[in-house]
Amino acid sequence: MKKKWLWPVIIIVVLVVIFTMSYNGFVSAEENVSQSYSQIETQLQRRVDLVPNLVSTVKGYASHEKQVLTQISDARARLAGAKSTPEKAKANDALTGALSRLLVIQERYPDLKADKQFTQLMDELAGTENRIAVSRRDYNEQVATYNKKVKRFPGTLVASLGGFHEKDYFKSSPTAKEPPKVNFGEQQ
Amino acid sequence: MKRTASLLLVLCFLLSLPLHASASGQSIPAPQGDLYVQDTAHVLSAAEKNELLSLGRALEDKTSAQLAVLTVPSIGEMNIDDYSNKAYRAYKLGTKKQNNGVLLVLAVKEKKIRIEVGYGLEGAITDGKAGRIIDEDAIPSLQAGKTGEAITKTYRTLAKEISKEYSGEKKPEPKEKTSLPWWAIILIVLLIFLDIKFLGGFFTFFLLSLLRNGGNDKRNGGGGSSGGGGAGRGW
Repeated sequence: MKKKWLWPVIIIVVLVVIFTMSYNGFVSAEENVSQSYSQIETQLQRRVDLVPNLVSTVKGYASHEKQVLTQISDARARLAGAKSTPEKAKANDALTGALSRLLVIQERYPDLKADKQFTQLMDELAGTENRIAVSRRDYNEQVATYNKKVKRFPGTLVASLGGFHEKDYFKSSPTAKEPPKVNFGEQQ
Repeated sequence: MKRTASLLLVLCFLLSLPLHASASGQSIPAPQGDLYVQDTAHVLSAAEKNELLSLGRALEDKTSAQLAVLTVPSIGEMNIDDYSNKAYRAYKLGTKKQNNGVLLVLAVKEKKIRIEVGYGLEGAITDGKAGRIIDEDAIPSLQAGKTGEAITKTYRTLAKEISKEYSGEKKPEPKEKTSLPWWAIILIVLLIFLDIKFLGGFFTFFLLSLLRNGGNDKRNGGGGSSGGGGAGRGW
């Protein structure tokens, strides 16, 4: 028992090391979250950019489907203007719903369906939609990891000291996954 | 006293470990042999398989990009887009830095085909182009019941598109050659000598066995990822 001072020093050093590691863990978890969020934003923006081309292509073949085209343009405008994460998720769902009506319409216009540019635009849009789905999943996974860190016991102390707060998930409304109901008589 | 302290340390260490919410790659078959051809649905003939294997190998040697095909009997409840993305991420096609890979997925029962493009090749194979390739090379053969032909044709086109992207670029750097300075060689020889003399060559054999395991010629994924680019179709 010659070195009574040794244990307190060791404990303090260990605590400092743990605090630093934990703090750095929060920083990189938060960085992962914002990185995945920017992926979503890129894809949402791409979608917003693609829609006008699509609308003008469809107009060339099916100009009297005004209602669907207006709905798409409106939903696009809402997505372009959305600010917060839940707002964006909602606007994006609305656009998905409006766009899926196009899939029903195209069956009635063989010329439109055969148009190379239309096919390409639909592929680009489908790809973008899929990228949004993937990046949303990635984002939500990162948020889950981060939130768990923030809420669990030892980390929660560091989180409150370092000013790390829980983050929003990018939620998709459950109704957006159902196919839209469109009345065309013979089609459902 | 000492033991409780070290126990405490271990405990602290365990608590500070990051928790990973791992995404399970359920029902994606583990790659067998060279990654380029994973024909678990057995739709390719031996000749077709060999052609694609050598094509994939040549493509990777030339461009560092990895092009693979995965055929499965069924994808179950999953949709082809999610399945392909999960499979791509499980196989880690392309290099970690460039993410330059493409995965062609075919589900026999669901009659679905998809080209999944890694982040790094999204410019070379856009979604529109991927869709066109499927429409032109795969769908006609698939509708005629010639699944093997559909895959080989699509694979060839994809390989061509990828090498086009890399044409005019210089070859990827050969895996770094380490030239050791003379004193390091002497040091290593000395260490091996000491190891054999006093430890019976324990470390030498251990390191050699590590090298043997890592040095086999099977082609694996390079660590790349995909964000869901590409296009899919049913037939």
